[in-house]
Parts: sequence; C-alpha cells; structure tokens
Amino acid sequence: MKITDEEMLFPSDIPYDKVPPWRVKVVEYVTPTTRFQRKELIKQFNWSVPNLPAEYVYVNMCTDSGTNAMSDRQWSAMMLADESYFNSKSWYPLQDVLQKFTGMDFVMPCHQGRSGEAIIYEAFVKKGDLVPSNCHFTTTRAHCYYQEAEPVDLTCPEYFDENNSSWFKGNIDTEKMKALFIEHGERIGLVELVVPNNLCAGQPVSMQNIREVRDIIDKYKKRDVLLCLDSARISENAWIIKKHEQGYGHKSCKEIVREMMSYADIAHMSAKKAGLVNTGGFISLRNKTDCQRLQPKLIRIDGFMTYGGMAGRDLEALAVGLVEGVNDYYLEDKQRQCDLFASACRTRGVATYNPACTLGVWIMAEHCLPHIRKENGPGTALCVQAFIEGGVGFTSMDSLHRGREDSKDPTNTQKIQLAPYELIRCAFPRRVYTDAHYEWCAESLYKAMCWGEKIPPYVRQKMSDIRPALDPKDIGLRAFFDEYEPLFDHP
Amino acid sequence: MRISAQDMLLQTDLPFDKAPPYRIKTIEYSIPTTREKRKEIMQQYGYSGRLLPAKYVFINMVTDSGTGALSDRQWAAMMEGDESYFNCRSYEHLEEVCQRFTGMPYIIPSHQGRSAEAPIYEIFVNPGDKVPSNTHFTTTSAWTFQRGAEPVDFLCPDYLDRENTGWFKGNMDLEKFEQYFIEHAEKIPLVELVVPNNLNGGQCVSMDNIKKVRKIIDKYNKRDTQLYLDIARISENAWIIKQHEEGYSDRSCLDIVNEMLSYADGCHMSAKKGGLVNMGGFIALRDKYYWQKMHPKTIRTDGYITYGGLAGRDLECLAVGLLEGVNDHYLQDRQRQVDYFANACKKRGIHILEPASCFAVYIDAGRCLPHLDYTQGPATCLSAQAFIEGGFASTAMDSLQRGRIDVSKPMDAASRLKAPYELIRCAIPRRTYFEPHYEWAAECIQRAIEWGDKLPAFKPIKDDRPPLEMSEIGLHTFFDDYEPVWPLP
Repeated sequence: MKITDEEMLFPSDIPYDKVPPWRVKVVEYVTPTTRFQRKELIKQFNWSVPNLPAEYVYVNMCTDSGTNAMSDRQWSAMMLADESYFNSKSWYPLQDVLQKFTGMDFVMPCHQGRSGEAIIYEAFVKKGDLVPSNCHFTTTRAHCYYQEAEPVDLTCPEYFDENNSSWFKGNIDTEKMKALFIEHGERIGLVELVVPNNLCAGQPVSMQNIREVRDIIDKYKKRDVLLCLDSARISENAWIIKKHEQGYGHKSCKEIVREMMSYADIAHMSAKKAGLVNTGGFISLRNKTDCQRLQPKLIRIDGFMTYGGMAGRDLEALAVGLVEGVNDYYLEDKQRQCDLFASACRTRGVATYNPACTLGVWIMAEHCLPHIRKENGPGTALCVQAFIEGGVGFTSMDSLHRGREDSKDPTNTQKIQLAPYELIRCAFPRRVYTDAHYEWCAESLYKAMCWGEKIPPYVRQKMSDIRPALDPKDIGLRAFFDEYEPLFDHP
Repeated sequence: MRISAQDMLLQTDLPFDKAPPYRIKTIEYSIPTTREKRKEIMQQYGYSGRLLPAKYVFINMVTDSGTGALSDRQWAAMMEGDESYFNCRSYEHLEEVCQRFTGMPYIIPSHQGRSAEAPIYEIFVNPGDKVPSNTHFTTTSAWTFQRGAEPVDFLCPDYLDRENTGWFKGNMDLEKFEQYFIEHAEKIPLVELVVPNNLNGGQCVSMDNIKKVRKIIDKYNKRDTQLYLDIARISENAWIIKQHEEGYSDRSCLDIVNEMLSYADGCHMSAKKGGLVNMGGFIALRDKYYWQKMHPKTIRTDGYITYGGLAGRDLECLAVGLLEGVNDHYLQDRQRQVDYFANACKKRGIHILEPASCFAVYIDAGRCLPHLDYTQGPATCLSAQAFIEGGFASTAMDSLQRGRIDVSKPMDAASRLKAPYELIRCAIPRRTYFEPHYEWAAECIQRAIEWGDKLPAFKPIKDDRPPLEMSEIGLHTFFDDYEPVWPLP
C-alpha cells in the first residue's frame, strides 16, 4: 500500500540533512571496464563522452535529464495507467497535480521540454523579436533562431565574479532588462526566465528577481508581453530560496514554487528533471485564449491535448513524481548530495564553481588545467581524461563546446565567443548515486588533473568534412554535432 | 538489453572496494516520524522490532531475509516468468543455475529455506536421533525437535573468546564433534553445517573445517550419515574464504562455493539471503534415490517439484539473483558496506562482536549496558531504545530472547541457558542502504547507550496464548514478548 503524499511530509526529527528519506529498491549494473579499454573506447568514439555507449560509463553525470531513479510509488502508478487515446483516465490526476503545482488553470502535457517550448515560441515569438532571458537554454535559443528572432542573455553581474558568494547568481540583470525594454520594447513579446539558470552553472534565481522582472514588464511593455518560466528544476530553485532568501524559511517548497509561478504567464517544464520521470513535460498558462492558440500546434507536434505525446503510464509516473520532487525532505537530501560532491572535489584541490547547488556541481576546468588556453577546451580535455581514469561521464561546457555564437552572425564559427568560465557540468541523476559514487567521481577528476601538461589541448574538427552545414535556423543546436580532437594523445 | 552474467564479471580496475558496482534504479520511502511518535509506537507494539509496523521503520535491519533490493535484470526476467503449473520453462532456467551453483545434479525448488529443510529432516531424521551442527538455526533446531530427535551444537571455542581475531569463529569444534560422532555414530543420520554461522555472530566457516567434518564422517560413520550445508549465505562466506584462507585468493567465489559444496551430500538454501530474492529457496543433492523420496514431501507442503510453491516469476528472479549474489565485484562491495557500518559503530565507542560478519554487525549489548545482567535483556532494551532515538530497527538476540533451550528440559522456559554474548543483530539488507544510512543507524545506537542506567531491565510478559507443543518448541522466540520494568526514556 502506497504511502500518501501527506504522510511523506509528516513532521520528523530524522536528519534528512544527513541521510536520504528513501532506501534502494532496485539496482542497475554497468559493464566493468579497465583503464586500457576506456582509453580505446574514448578514442574510438571521437573523444566525446556523450558519444560513448552508455553501458561503459560507470558513473554517468552527463545529464540529469530523464536519468532519474523512480520510486516504487511511481512504478505502481504506471501499472494502473490507461492507454486510451482520448481522455485517458490517467490524464485527470495529472491535470489536477499540474494545476496545484503551478497555480495556473490551463495545463497541457507534452512529451518533453523542447516540444513544449516549440509551440510557445511558434505562437508568441515573431520574426525580428528580441527574447530577453537570464540565459536561454540551448533549446529555447534554438527556437528563437528558428523563429528568426534574437535571444538576448542578460545574466546578472554576480555570475561573472567567481568569488561572489551570493546564492542567486542566476538572476537576470534587471537594469539591463529595463534599458532593453525602454529602447526596444516594441520588439519584445516574451521574456524567458530559466529557474535555476542551467547554462550558468545551475545558479538559482531569487524570488525578488522574478518579482522585479514582472514589475518591469508591467511598467515598460509596449505590446502584450508574456513572462515565461523554464521550470525544469524549479523545485530545486525553491529549496535555495527557502534556505537563503529572507522570509521563506517557514514555507514549504510547494508554496514557494506556487509563488514563483504566480508572477508568470506561462511555464514550461521538462519534467525529466525535477519531475523525477524518464520522459515527459508540460505547459501551463493563465489565459484561456493563449491555451487555445497552443492546442492545434500541440496536436501537430506532440499529440492530443490529453496525452501530448506521453504514454498513459508516463502521465501517471509524472503525477506522482512531480509531487515527490517538491517534497522538502527529498530536496534537503538532494542538496546534501550536491554539497558532498562539491566538498569531495575541493578537498582534493579540484576547483568548483561556487555555490554548488540545485542540479549538480560545475568544475572550473581552467583552474584545473591552466596550461590549456580557453579556446583549446580545458573542459573537453579534462572530461575525457576523467573518463579514462575512472569511467565517469560529465559534460564539457567550455568555450570550445558551448561558446555562444554571435547572435548577430550566428553561422560564423569564427565569431564564437569565449565563455566566461571553462566549465564541466557534473549533473546529478536524482536518487541514483550514493556517497561512494560521488567520492569516486571526485577522485577520477583529481587523478585526471594530476597529469597536468601531459593532457592535450583540443581543436574543433572541420565540420564541413564530416556533415552538411547546419541550416541557419538550427544553428543553436551545433553543440549536439560539433566534434573535436586532441593535438596529441591522452596519457 | 541485459548485461550478461559473464559481462558482470569482466576484469576491471574500477574501485569496487570503495563504491558499489551498481547504481540505483528504484527507491522506496518510509513514513517520517518524530521521537515522540516513535516512543508511542514502541509502547503500543510491545517493544520489539518484530512487532513494529514496518512503515514506521526508517532503517530496517531486523533481518536480511527477503529484504534486499532486486536488480533491473531480475525484474526484467520476472516479466518473462512462465506460470504454467507443470514443467514451466522458468524452472528449467533455475534448475540449470542451481546445478552450476551447487555442482549437484538433483534440485528441488521450495518456497523458502524452512520448507526446504522439512523434507530433508523428514526423510533422514527419526525419533531418538542426534543431529550435530556448528549451531542449528532456529528452524533446523525446530525440525529436529519436531522429529523427536535432538539438535547438538558443537561451536568452536574461538567464538567464545572475545579477544580472538580469527576469521572463522563459526567453525565446528572438530575435537568434540569427532568424539561425539565416535560415541553416537549409529544415532547420527545427518550433520548440519551452517555457513556462515548465523546464530553465533554470523561468523564464517573455513574450507578446512568443512573438509575435516567430511573426513570425520567418512571415517566413523556407521549408517550412511549425510552432510548437509545450510547455504543461505554461502556466497558471503565464500568471499571471506577468498580473502582470508590461504590458497583461495585467485579463485572466483562461485568456484569456492562449488568446492565447499563438493564435500557435502546435499544442501538447502533460503535464497532470500544470498540469493538476492524476496522469496524462494531450494534443495540440491547428489543422490537420486533420496531426491525421489523427497518429492512427495515437497508436493505435500510446498508444491509440485517444478515450482515448489514459487510463482514462475520467482523462479526466474532466483535464477538471476543467485549468480548476481555470488559475483565477486558485488561481494567485495557487500563486505565493504558491512565493514563501513562496523566502523561507524566502533568510532562511536559501541562494542561490537569482532570480526563483523559477512552479512550483519552484532552489537555486544552486554558491554554497552553493563548495568543490566543477562536475565534483564540488555539487547532487548538497547534495540528498543535505538528505535526511539531514530527509527532504527534491529533484532535482540540476548539470553532473554534467544537463550538456548536446555535439551534435557526443553519445555521449561525458566531453564533456558545463558547466551555467550548479549547480542543485537543488525542484519544488513542487500543493496538497500548506503553510507549515510549506516552512519545514522550507528548514531541511533550511540544515543540509546548514552541514557546509561536510565535504561530499564526487561522481563517476559505472561500471556494467555496456548503453550507451544513439544514439536514446536524451537519456535518460542517468534511468540515470547517482553516489557520494561519502567518506561524507556
């Protein structure tokens, strides 16, 4: 018999800041490998951990997207799913959960985040528009280009100061945003806030920042403007607000999410993250007409409004997972895991971007490998070496891999800008790894770093020799295709 | 696609001595509680881990029996379970795996260990017989009584020496056994070796000891005496042999299990332990005639001989779990977890029985609560208090609860014998908990100990249940209840 949502939030003195509120019910093995094999493998798969067959990755932190462990409560709900095409009975419990989670009346399922974004951008972003954001994620950036609009990232200055100890370095720069509205207000129909700011080291956004963004829009808009929240990991952002923003210590994360949402017009969520599912997403809106405008587009791309491209069982898993994912005890343990990994790195001298919070830990590769120049992929090289050392998989987010294209001249790879930091993202699959795994990841990074100058710089391969050039409308997606090679062999 | 059993044993330099060879795929919650609530629950449910509703237990180490996490490979196999009554395909799979595991040709599935023991005791043991063992587990001792025979334990003296650091303190006392065997050979139909020795601190048995027991039987037997092994946790015992007995470090644990069983005539397994399943067991033996004699008995109590009371999916699950459970990488990590918990206890000054065994940590409650003597249930008390402190449940195995029966007066509860140690067994469910859980479990015990002489003695509760019959007498521990002489703090 299932433990109820209410029971899962019963008062407790059990120290969930030290120990997870759950135990393990099913485990999963990977194929054991040796260092020699791993070196062969990474070479064979073009020096890229994302290219590797996953079965050889012992601890896989390439992404936290859809890689979560589900609970037995979710599995049991899945067995009860209704796979009817129209108006499946599995849709209604999810609809109810989504309305309560977002506080918005109109909700629709979509198969994952990007398909939800696609129809929002199609409906509300026009050619020539500017779309301000605290920092667009890869996919909303791609949707901007696809609509021939321009993404404008206005990350707050605190992010660029690595010694700044603020907890909200993911905020939007409200001064610059106000100036942009005053100057180009007629070109702005949508503002995208990513909470937390995934591409900026997962840094959270404060409630105050969201409130100010709302005020600026209301005061300076020159046409209808929608404030859109990318809420893939909103629950984890809420935990940081609860702990570190004044006045929220006594609120539940569920209430905090509701307040964050209350300032927005639309939210889209890739539920594969904080929704604790393996696939799924949703859109929520306040305005009925806006919702009706999205419905035919949803059907064209994803599926009918009561399933949106999700199997009935995935609707059920999400209805349970979304609530588990905003549970305060669970979030406390999630942050504990983050802190554990970050301090395992720091005690070994592996530099991390601080604070480490929400979805993972970001490694400052330029401090780990100071001999590699920013344009030569210190993150790329360290990632590859760490896989060789210990079978651990991370994502390089350095200038080489993720430097922004010049938004005025996006197809020109010569104009790709240097990133503010040369980062490696170690994204935590939720409820999947244990303390011992985190220690091993830190150890692998440390062993990699110890090779020092024996680790090679990287260069971009000439992509025109490998595949047809990306359509300008798809240029935001080059990170999924570009390939790189080391100037000499890895140790 | 499933990773094959061969792939899972590939050579590796990954640190499976530091981190598990698996990751988590599904998790499970318990209901959050407060100290006040737990105190209420404890009072309401008779101060015993055995009586507590499991949903309120945060970390449950009452037993390692059937409480482990399955793998996705097992769940996938379960979906392919063939539920046909006769000769289902799933049985063929299991039979083949059991033959490989035991090296014995004849297999009978059973729904768990105790029902596998039943046909063995029924066909071999008769009134007036003696059944020697390194220490019978509760159920085989109960079967012996049920057959009107006498269980005789020959525990090696190493176990009784607190300071002894040997790795094989679960051995049979060979000298005493030999002497007894010579004296009573015509009355001994069966010798039972429990590997490892569950009721004695989970201590392991050495290969050498098994070999010598075989030799003694071969040398002095007067009536085709059978050597059977209780192999619920044999794989974990094999890991200790691999690590600590000379000549085995290069052998796989499967190989070592095969050799251990090569000295036996048969074996029975509660697969809920080392078999990594939630339900299941089996008998394996060398002799076709005895195998056929067991068939009707299995059918009478468990089920037809190709399912033995198990669902088809349970047969599949066991076929996969038995091999995962003997995988060297897994066993290395399993021992690491036990040692981790043992160290978490030791660094907090909690006395444990050394060495920590291969499946549990035994707390020496007599030393933790010196103000309570053996008649006052120090382990019963400490175990109850540890639940109040932090939702941690364990099993008290002190003189009060588990004092052995005086075989000359088995019905007399007052003449139960003093146990060598006043122990709490913290049995570690497989693949279920990890470091912070172990730290917290140790923390709960420490906080409980800190109450010192505020902790009350326990005494038996007289109840109005019908008394156990002579043939059930070994099972008193499942029914006896106790209460504190003043309230727990």
